[in-house]
Amino acid sequence: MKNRKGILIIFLLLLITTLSGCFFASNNNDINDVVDDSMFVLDPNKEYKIEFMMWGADNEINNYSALIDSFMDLYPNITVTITTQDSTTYMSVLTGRLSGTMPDVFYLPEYDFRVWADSGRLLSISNGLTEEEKNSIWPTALDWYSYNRETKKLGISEGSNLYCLPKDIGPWTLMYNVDMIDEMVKNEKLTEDESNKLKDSSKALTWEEFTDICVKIQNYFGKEKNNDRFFAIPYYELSSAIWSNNADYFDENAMNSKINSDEFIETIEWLWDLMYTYKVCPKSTGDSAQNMFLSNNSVFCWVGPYLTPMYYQQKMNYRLIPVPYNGNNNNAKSTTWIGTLGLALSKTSKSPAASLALMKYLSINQDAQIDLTTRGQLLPNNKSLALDKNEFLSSTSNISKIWPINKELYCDIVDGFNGDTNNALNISGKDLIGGKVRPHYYTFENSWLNALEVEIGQIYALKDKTKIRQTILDYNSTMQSYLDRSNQSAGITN
Amino acid sequence: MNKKISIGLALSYLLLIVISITTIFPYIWMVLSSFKSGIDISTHPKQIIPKTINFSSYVDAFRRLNLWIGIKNTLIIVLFSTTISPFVSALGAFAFSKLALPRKRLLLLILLSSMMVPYAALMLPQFQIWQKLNLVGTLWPLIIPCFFGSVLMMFFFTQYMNGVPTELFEAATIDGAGYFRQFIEIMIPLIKPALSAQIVFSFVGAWNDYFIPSIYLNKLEVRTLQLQLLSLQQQQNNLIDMNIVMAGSVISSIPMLIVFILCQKFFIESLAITGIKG
Amino acid sequence: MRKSKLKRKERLVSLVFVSPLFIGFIIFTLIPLIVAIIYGFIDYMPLRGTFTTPSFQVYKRLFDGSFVTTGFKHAIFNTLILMLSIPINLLLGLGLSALLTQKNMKGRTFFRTVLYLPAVTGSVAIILVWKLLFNETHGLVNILLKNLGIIKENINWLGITSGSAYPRFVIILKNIWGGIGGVTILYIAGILNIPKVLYEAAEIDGATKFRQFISITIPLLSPITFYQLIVSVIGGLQSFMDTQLLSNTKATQTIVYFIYDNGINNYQYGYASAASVLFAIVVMVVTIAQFKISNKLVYKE
Repeated sequence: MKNRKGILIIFLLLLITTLSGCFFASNNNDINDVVDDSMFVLDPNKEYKIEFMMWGADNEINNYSALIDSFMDLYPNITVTITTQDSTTYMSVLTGRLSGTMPDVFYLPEYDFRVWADSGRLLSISNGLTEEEKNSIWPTALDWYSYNRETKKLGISEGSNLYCLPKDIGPWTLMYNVDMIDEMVKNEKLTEDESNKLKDSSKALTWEEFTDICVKIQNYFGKEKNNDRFFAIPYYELSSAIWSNNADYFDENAMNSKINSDEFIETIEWLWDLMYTYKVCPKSTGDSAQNMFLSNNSVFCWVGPYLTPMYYQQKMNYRLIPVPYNGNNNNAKSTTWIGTLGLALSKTSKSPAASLALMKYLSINQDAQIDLTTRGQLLPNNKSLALDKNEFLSSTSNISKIWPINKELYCDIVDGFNGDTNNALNISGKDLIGGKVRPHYYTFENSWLNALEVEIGQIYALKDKTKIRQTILDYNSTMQSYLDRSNQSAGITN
Repeated sequence: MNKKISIGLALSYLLLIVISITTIFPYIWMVLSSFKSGIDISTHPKQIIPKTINFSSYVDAFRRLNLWIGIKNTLIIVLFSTTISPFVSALGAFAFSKLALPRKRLLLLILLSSMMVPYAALMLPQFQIWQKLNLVGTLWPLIIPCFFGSVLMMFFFTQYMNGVPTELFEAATIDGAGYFRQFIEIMIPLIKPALSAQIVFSFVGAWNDYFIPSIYLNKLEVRTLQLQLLSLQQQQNNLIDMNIVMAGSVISSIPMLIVFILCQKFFIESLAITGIKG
Repeated sequence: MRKSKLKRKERLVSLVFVSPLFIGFIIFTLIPLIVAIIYGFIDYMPLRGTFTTPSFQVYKRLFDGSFVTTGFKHAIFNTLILMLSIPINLLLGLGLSALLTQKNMKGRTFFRTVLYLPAVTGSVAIILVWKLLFNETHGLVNILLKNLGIIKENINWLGITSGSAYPRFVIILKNIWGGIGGVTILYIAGILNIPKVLYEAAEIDGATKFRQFISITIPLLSPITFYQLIVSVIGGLQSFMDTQLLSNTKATQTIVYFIYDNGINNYQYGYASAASVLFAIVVMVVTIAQFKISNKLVYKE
């Protein structure tokens, strides 16, 4: 009996150790993830099966399913299976699949791009694109999705590789309710001049001008109409405010914190003023910003291309405006954040050729882009398509029907700063309007952003404006620790 | 004497009624809010009684919260946790209670210790197991564990079975009946009350479960009822649709309230028994 | 000879009967636990597929001072504060059960049913209603408080901009509201189980009702008190839903939420696993302590 027991125990231990061994995701960590361009050539006689993983609301999933059906018609030897996931758990499921089978093509949000590229999980697609194809995409997008694993630097540089194609690019800017502004002009609460300043989306307002208009709006719709639920603007995007004062969270390559700069502190103080001094922005609200805008409880609101169908359906009469900048700062210019989602190719994919074909179709195929843009799903990824004055930029063509009249502003933001948005803050010229990729794109880990937002939230709750400066300065070392930890995880020491 | 008792009793009643109202109040608010129109919740929150009774939110709830899908998925999980799990657990309990299980005390201790480990410590590796099997995003991570029973349930059954006279089984063995047959034909009928109670508990537990489903059921088609209630909460504070969410909440709560009111005895009795025995 | 063969068969069959439970234990409890311990020691990061040599480094990081805003220490502190509802529940439950077990008290079943309702309702629905009631600008609570003139400005109950105490207060209140039913039922059953002779004897000795309560009722209810205390503590330690669904702020993030957030949202498996292993140790210690202490302190006949 004892022998049997002994054998049983050994068997169990073996079982346990092998099963535990299954838990680790192996990684081929070599630097080289470039493949020969021959790997990307499709063999028309071969059958390919690939998996595409995405997230999205119902209509997006439907749009892309239809699109992929067209793709499969075009390439009869490729079969694509689509896996959809909830957006909130998408990344953790994707990461979990590293220890199993990865999808061939998948959504990769920009805020995880750096760590995925650095971890060697993506296959470089530089050799799979022709010059013509590369030129059709916004140059800024090519820059965003390039990474150099040796120098660990983002952007196009000597020795960098392209890893993703953009699924979409979404500048996030302000809009205003045209009807409400017209009403104010009619009742002489706002001058024609001020209304025209808003209308002109080629020039951004200064902080002073913007605040001034907001106060007037607040006085009319809030005070005079006795609506205590009204606020001129439901909230203000932190990044857009900071960058429009030529400040930043950290230096290039996200090594050192820059939140202790005067410009950063000045921005927070201005945002605080919007809430407490001018009272045009609520400290926090129980309802969403969109609802406030839709129910005319706000005149301004934030918007991006993907919201186009919704506002079109709600028949909102709105115009886009560039984000205000600090007129007192000679180096400041209107800079807002741009969100983007990439299509990535897994390093372990068995069919890079078919996968790249799918990526190209979804990202830059002319017909696909026209279809998606007409539905208001996204801003065209093809620069030429977006800047076509007869099509997208016209106000009468089919493709532009659903878009707001001054949609050109979206294009300006994406193409702004001469196509060098990674370097946005170092370019001067007050009249420039542009954008920068969302801040957590630049780091390997995102926990610094959540922590900073919590801290700023507490600053907004301060009743005493003079405490803001010290609070931020005190927080600076914590911010630096987060950045250090993020860089250490990639093996970079300060 | 009578007067004194009456005042004390009257005050007690008063206090209890106040507390009962406080307890029921959120439910009342849930129902009232479900009848309001969404815009009202957003723009006229001061209203307590809705202007018009609006059943459309209930209809909308089924459509926009995909309640039918949610109910279907919940019922699938409920099916397995109220049939297979108690069966397997009872089988194990039978072995502990009535059969000559070698090293009984050791095995019992091992299983007991498993109950002491909090789920949070097992959560991530279990997640990985299901990832490897490519079953995240399906109902399987919630169904398969039912085939392995529940230690807590087995414990409960063991206690109950210990009260069943062993002679019945000894006699049956002498008569040549197999153990499994003994289990099915003799034991199960005798533990009907315990079985029923556990089935009811499993039903309520599976219906209301949130944590584990939230980890694995991250696609629309497989979400259970409780998760569907949250599908409109993607963005912060979406008050315009709150009436639909409240309607969904009412719909999801009613079956459990009915079960509870009908089976009150189970809950209260077994709660009392476990408590007193410590 | 026959008997030993029979016995062997019985042993075999019994092992087969318990095998599902054991296999389940190995697959779903033992192996995950071992893996979690390993992850904690090697700081496993699934994205890069890296691990370090086994060390206590990750455990040290959990208590590292520079991450004070969303750290493990905060999670521990928050979880403990949120468990304040437990003693309050015990006291209130005791009181309510005393009320409900008075002579001539009718409608005990009705009140019991009402009080236990929250325990059978899904937590999601409950949290959604409470979220609506305590909504800063549209919730009934703030509206009533303003109308009654008690407050001038809306309180942010579920965020931290009005202060840390408010979201904690809401969660504790909700847990009292929801938990009182179970406690009361237990105590009622316990009180009804106390032999009447004890009270009669005390009455004869001239003890007041109050004295009787203190000296007879409470000690004899101590097994229930302990059971309820331990069950509530273990449950309270594992609080998660309140953080994720009701109020997700620095003041209300619990231990389990910390593990979930770092593990599933940030895929820092090593970090989260280390925290979960420490957590498991604490829970196990509490459970074992219960068995030992209840044997000593609980009043025995």
